[in-house]
Order: sequence, then structure tokens, then C-alpha cells
Amino acid sequence: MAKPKYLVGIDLGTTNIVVTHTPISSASEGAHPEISLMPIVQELAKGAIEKLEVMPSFIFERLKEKPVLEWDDESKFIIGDYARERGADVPDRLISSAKSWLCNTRIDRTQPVLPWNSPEENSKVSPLTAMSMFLRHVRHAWNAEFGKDKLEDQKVVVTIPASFDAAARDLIVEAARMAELPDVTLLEEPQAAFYSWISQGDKPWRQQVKKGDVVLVVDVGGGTTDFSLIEISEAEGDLALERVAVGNHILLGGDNMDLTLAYVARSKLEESKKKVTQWQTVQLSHQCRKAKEILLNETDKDSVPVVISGRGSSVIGGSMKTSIDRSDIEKTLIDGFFPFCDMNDDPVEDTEGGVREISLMYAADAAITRHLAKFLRNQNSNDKQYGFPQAILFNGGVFRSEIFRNRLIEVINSWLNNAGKEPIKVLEGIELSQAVARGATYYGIAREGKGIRIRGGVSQAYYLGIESSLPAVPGFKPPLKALCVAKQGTEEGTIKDVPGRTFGLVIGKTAEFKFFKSNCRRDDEFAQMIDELDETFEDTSSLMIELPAYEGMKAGDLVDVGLQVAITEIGTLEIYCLAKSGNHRWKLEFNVRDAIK
Amino acid sequence: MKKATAFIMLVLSIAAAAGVYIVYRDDISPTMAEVEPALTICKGLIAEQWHTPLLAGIALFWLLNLLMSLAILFERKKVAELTAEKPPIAVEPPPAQNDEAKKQLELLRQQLSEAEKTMSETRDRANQLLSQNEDLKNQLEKFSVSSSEKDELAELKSEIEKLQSTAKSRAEAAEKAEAELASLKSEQQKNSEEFAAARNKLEKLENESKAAKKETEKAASQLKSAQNDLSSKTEEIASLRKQLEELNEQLKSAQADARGGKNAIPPAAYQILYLFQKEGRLIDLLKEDVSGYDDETLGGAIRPIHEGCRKLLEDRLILEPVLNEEEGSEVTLDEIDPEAIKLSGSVPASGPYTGELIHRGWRLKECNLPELVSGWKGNVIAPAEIEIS
Repeated sequence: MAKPKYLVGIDLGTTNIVVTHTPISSASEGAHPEISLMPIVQELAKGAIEKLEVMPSFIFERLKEKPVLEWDDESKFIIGDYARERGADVPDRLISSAKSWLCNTRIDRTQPVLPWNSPEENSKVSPLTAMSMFLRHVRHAWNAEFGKDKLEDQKVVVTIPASFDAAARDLIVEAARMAELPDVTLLEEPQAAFYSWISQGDKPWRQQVKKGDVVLVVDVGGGTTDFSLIEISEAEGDLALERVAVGNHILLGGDNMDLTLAYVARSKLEESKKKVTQWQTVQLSHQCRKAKEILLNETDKDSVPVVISGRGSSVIGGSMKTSIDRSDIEKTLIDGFFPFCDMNDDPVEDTEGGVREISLMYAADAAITRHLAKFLRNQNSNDKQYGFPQAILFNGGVFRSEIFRNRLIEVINSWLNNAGKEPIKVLEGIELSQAVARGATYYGIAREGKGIRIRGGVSQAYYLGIESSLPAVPGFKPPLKALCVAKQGTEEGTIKDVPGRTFGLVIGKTAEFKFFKSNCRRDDEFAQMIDELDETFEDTSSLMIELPAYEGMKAGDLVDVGLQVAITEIGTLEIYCLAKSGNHRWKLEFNVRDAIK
Repeated sequence: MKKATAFIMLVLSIAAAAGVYIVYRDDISPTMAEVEPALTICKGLIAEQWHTPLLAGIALFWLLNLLMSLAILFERKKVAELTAEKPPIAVEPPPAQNDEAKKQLELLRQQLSEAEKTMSETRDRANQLLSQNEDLKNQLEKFSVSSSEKDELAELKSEIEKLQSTAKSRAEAAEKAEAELASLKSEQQKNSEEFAAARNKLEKLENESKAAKKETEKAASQLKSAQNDLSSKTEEIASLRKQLEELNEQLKSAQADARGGKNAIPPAAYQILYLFQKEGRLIDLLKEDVSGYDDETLGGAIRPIHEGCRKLLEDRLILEPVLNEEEGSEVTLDEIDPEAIKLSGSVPASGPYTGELIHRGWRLKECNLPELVSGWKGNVIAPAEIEIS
């Protein structure tokens, strides 16, 4: 293996992928490193190729388009810009939001199911394979650009949503391995944005925060919204950073805004008895995004005309015209996505109830402020008031618009004011759409020991479900207890045995453990048993193990095992069974195949 | 070895005879006085009672020795003479066989020289092909140089280059064939050397002529296979030549196209039209009869077209003014490039030129068209669309 020459950051976004890099040699203590973007070569229409700074996270199964890139996958699939373009015409063949499917616990994420609900004759790939296809495309593009300094030999950091649970993190590492990138390190996206803010030199971060501050990172991407809290503390006379909380996975983002506006325009057109096809809605969505940007940036304009051209060759005769008004923006976007609310409000739950078709779990409530209220409220406990942050860092293209930033600040300040706290401070200096990728590369520098590191550890607390031993009562399931196997914030590189717990496992039989997570139970200690599971616990992929026969033990024998928990350096959680006699250890695997009941 | 021993024995026998002679002729020479005591002893011994048996024994031994030595010395000759008597019967056939082999060899030699001739012919042909190739290349070069409409011919050039490279590869194949021929030739030379060795063997060991004949046969079969190889190579060259002729035809048609055929359109022309249609629907607008629309409909509909086309000029076909001064202002230029500045009105014979800037002009500063991996296929700039529901 060649010696690594570059630190590489890959922002593996739900809708866009960005790659940055810096030479390892340029990483030095205290400096503001030159982090460059790597343009990713992609296929375009008509057999053309081009290097683009952003690769849209879309995969399209080829119809008759002749492949132009001679790489694996590309003969059967188009990946990137042209995939998105073709997918607008032929949606049944388009795979989008693969990353969100990767953390959908209601499907088998290793089975070919995407594009979801597409006709049987179309080929399908698993969410895992789709992610590996993106990474493989990035690897090919890098290797085509850098020649002998192959990506598989570099130090690569891949970003993931902070809300990804342990199983989804494992799947990303697996996808990277499938893409022949055996050594990747994971980093949470809001942390990456924070690193990007640290690495910028325009407004030194140490002057913007002080000891004791809690920073709220709000990351509204194309398809997902992520919250994290980072505490500024002090260690050895210098400021230290610790990520203290992460939010749940919310499928809500900037694309929803453009789509909402397109539906507004569409209903306006339909009111005037004009028929709008699905294809024209796509065009409308593009037009509406442009109109939105004009209205948000030019405050003197009250209305922007939106015209969709006729689909046939009669471009003028078939055209339809309407307009997006300032009031539309205010009503649907600002009040729709960032409404004023109380800190005690909850997001509106899906009221349809009953059997719901499996699909991506899009947030039922578009109000980002209500999701934020719930997240912050859950972070307040008796001794820590993390729910009242002192500073805010924005990330994601949505916040390029000042109107959204201001509204969110206004809402948060109303909560702080009610609680008698100081108004929140806005941290400045990051480039909103590339911050995650740049931050990922900076994290590579920090890992080299040449920059400040955020102490993060495990993003949530994890629990093993254990059935209480009670006399059998017909029709009554014994209540579940929860054993805390990972305390929130346990640092990377920790390996611990769970004391006092012995399980009897039968060789050759599959044992399954229920597994829970919680992002607001910060007081539970390692190995603590919690008797009652309330709504603060969330189901996550169960753990499975099948002990092989060993050392004279054969199938059917009962083996006593203890548990060992490891938080790996790359950011994954691993749980092992240790034989009480002998020196044997087996890894519990996440069951990503079966839906959570 | 045997002969040497026999010779020594013979000498010893003669010496012994001489010794006896000396013993019996005591007056032979005064110099013998020195060996007197030995002679005396000998004489004494002889004079003894067992004189007669000893003498008889020695004489017998001597005689035997002499006979044996003589027998051994002359034995070889006798054996050789004996064998020499046989050959007329044993060797009689070889000369005939030899003659036959010689004939065959002659034939083989003839065949060899024929093969060499064929080879040199083939080589000449290959050379000819190569030179034709060279001619073709020159023609191509000349063609591309002489063409004044370079830009228009860009695509043709690439096609010609492709043809050229194919021709080159063909030429390389011909060269390879030639090299193979050369190696064949050397193989045949080796074969002939083997022949020579066989002949030598025949001359030297006539009784082994049978083996030599076999070898000759082997060599002949080798030669035959070599000849087969050669003929197949010749065929290959012939087919290469045919292909080359076909290429020549293609080149001619390409040249014809270049003088105004359908392939004379550069790919960038397609690409630019394609992009203006795709991003801005410009072709649709220009092709549409707009006389029936009122100004408001027309104005509104043009908005997205203008936006799309403008974006293309911002991203891919980046323009900048030739002169940056305000239109309507007075400008003075000492020298002008007629390609960049158009003078009108009462123009003086030489500069400085002073006048009002009517139009700032445009120049194409950058052209960022996406890279076409294998040129532009066909002549479609906007595909027909069919929606399947």
C-alpha cells in the first residue's frame, strides 16, 4: 500500500456529494489549511463528460444511453448529474435519497428494493449497494484525477447524519468496503460543519465563543434536517469542544421547499383551468426555486413571473404563465417551515394512523421549528441546561437566505426570552453548501493531531432489551427491561466489559437481542438496568448472534457468555459475547434485514 | 596401446638377440671390456650344467615374443584388410542412396531458393504496402495542410486521423508480417545449415546414410510447413492490401465529404445548437411563427427562453466586449485590428482614429463545452419525445 498523501473528506449527502482534499504535508498546527474541492467527473447528455464540483446523489438505470465512462457500474447505470436529468423524464428508473433508505428500519437494507415500487422488469439495487456505487464513482473519479495517489490509499473521512444509529453507521462502512475503500473514518455532518467553522480564518472561532457556551448546529440540507449541540468547555487552559447531543433523523429539507412552492404555482395554474403534467411540475419546481431566490434576495420585488414553456415545439403557443408572490414565500415557506411556536410544542404527528404503506418516513410536520423545540426541550435535565444554547451555527443551502436565518433566530430568542436567558449569538464564517465536505477534510487534520478535536463519542445511549424473569402468565408478555451498554458520549477507542451479566447461549441457535437507543437519557450509566421503557427509548435494529461450535462444545450445548462493548476509532459501535470459560469472543451483528416490529 | 606394447616387445626381442650375439662373440669390440664381468658371469652360467635347458627356454621365449609382437603389429592391418574386402557388398547400395539424397538435397535447395525468392517478393510487397501507407499519410498531411477551412474540417480531420491510425495499425501489421517472414527466413537458413550438416555426415559416415536420409526427410517436412506458413502469410498480406485499398476508398469518400459532404459539420456546431435548444428552447422559438401572438403573450413566453439562453452565455460560451468604453462616448485608437474594430464614416488613410463608439463588439472569451467522448453521433440536435403512460 502506498503512503497516504492526502486527507480527503467526502460529504455523502442525501441529494449532493462533494469531495474535498488537502495534502497531509500542508496540515500544520494552528494554521488555516488550504482545503480544495475535487471536481467529480460525470456523464452528461449526448455522450459528453464534465467535471462538476457537486455530484447529485442520483442513480439512473440506463435505457439506450451509451456509456461514456469505462468504470464498473457505469455500463448499466448513470450516476450523477445526467441521472438526475434523465430521472425527471423516467422516474421509475431513478434511485434518489438512497441515504435515507439506508436508515429506514422498516425494510431489508441489503436487498435490492430501489427504485422503490418500480416495475418488476427494472433492475433494482439495495440501499447499501447504491451507497457503494456513489463511493465507487468517487474513487474512480479521484483515481482518474490523481493517478498513482489512489483514493484507497488516502486517509478518507466520510460524513453521515448525526442521527444515524449504530446499524446505519455499520452499513456506511460496509458500503465503503464494497467500493474498495477499506479504511474510512465516519464523521457526523453537524460536527463537520462545526470543524469547517473552526478551520476558517476570517473570523477566528476563539473570539466568537467562550467557555461554557453551548452551540446549536442547525443543518438543513437538501433532504434532511439535523441538529447537534456542542459544548465549549476548558481543558488544560485551552478551549475544548464536546458534542453533547444529536437530534433524530428528520426527512425534511430544501428540496421540500422548492416542491411546496411548485405545488403553489401549480394550483394557481389549475385554478385558471390549465392542465399541468408531472413533467411540467419538474420544470415548475426549477422556475419556482429561481423565483424564490429572487424574492428572498431582492426585497424590493413583490412578485416574480413564472412561465413554463409548452412541451411541444410550439414554445410560445403552449406556454403557461403565473407568478410567485412575496406572500406565497412568506405563507408557505417561512410560516410553513419556520412557524412561530412554543418551546413545549410537539411536531404534528401523522394522523392517518393504521396501516401505512412503507416508504421513506418523510416528516409529517414540515415545521422545522417544532422539531427543534422538541429536540431542545429533551436536552434539559436538572443539572444541565443544554436546551438553552448560547450560540447558533447555520449550515445547508437553505440558510443562504437571510430571511430564514432571521426567522429561526427570532423563534429561538422567543424561547430563550421566556426562560429568562440571553438572546442567541450567531456564529459566522462558513460557506454553507461546502462546509460539511471542507469540515470532513479538516477533521482528517485534527485526527493527525494538528488541530482541535471535538470530543464526541457515541451520539446516543444504547440499551439491550432483557426480558424480566416472571412466572408465565398466559396472554401476558413479560415486561422488557433495558441494560445500558453504551453511555451517550462514550469516547472512541473505549472497550469495556459489562459487569455482572451472564447470558446462556445455545450453540448453533440464533440468539436475538432487542436493541434500543435514546438521545435524551444522558444520566443513565454504563451497565445500569432500567426497569421501565418509556417513550424516551426508541427501537433500533436488533442484534443477532449464532455461536459456532468450538473447543469440543457442539451444537445444542449451553455456553455462558458475558458482554463486551467497543466504540471503534472510526466511529462504529461493536458488541461482543465473551465466553466465561476460555478465550473466545464473538461479534453480535446488527439485524438490518428484518423490519422493526 | 596394444600396438605400442607389441612394438616395445619387438625391440626388446631384437635387443636380446643382439645381447646373445654379443655374449657369443667376445672378440667383437674392445669397448665391451667394460661389461666383461657381466659377460663372464653369463658365460659362466651358460657353461653350467643347466646351460642347455635355460638357453632353450630363453630362445623359446624370445621366439614367442618375437612372433607375438609381429602378430600384434600386423594384426590390425589384417583386420582392416579383411573388412576392406567386404565393402563392395555392404557399401554398394549407399552410393545409390547417397545419390538419391543428393538429388533430394538439390531439390530442397531449389525449393529453398524458391522460398527465399517468394520471401523477398513478399517483403517487396510489404515494403510497397508500407510506402503506399507513407504516401497515404503524406496525402493526408498534405490534405490537412492545404485545407484552408480548418475549423470546418475539424470533425473530418478527426475521422481522417482515425483512418490514418487504422492505416497505421494496418501498416504495423504488415511490418509485423515482414518481421515474421524474416524470422521464417532465418529459420530456413537454420534448416539449410542442418542440411549441410546432414550432408557432411553422409560423406563422412556413408554407412549412416539411412539416418541422414531420415533427417533430410524431417528437414523437408519442416521446410514444407515453413512454406505453408509462408503462403498463409502471403495470403494475409494480400488481405491486408485489400483492406488498405478499402481504407483508401474510405479516405477518398471522406475527402469528398470534406469538400462539401454531409460530414463537414463540426461537432461543436451541433453541441451549441443542442445546448441552446435544451437550456433555452431557442430553436423552437426561432422556428415558431410568432405573428399570431399578442405582445404580452410573446413577452411572457420569452422570459424563460431568455433566461435559459443567457445562462448558457454565462456558463459555457462566455463573451466579453471588444472595447470597454461606454457606447456613445468618443474613442481614439492609434492602430486598429480590422478583425476587432470596424471603422465607418469618413475613415482617414492612417491612424490615429477618433470617433464615436457605436457598438462595443463581442468576443468569445471562453468556450466551456462539455467534452464529447466520441464525437457527435448523427445530426439530431433535439430528439423527438414520446411519453408512454
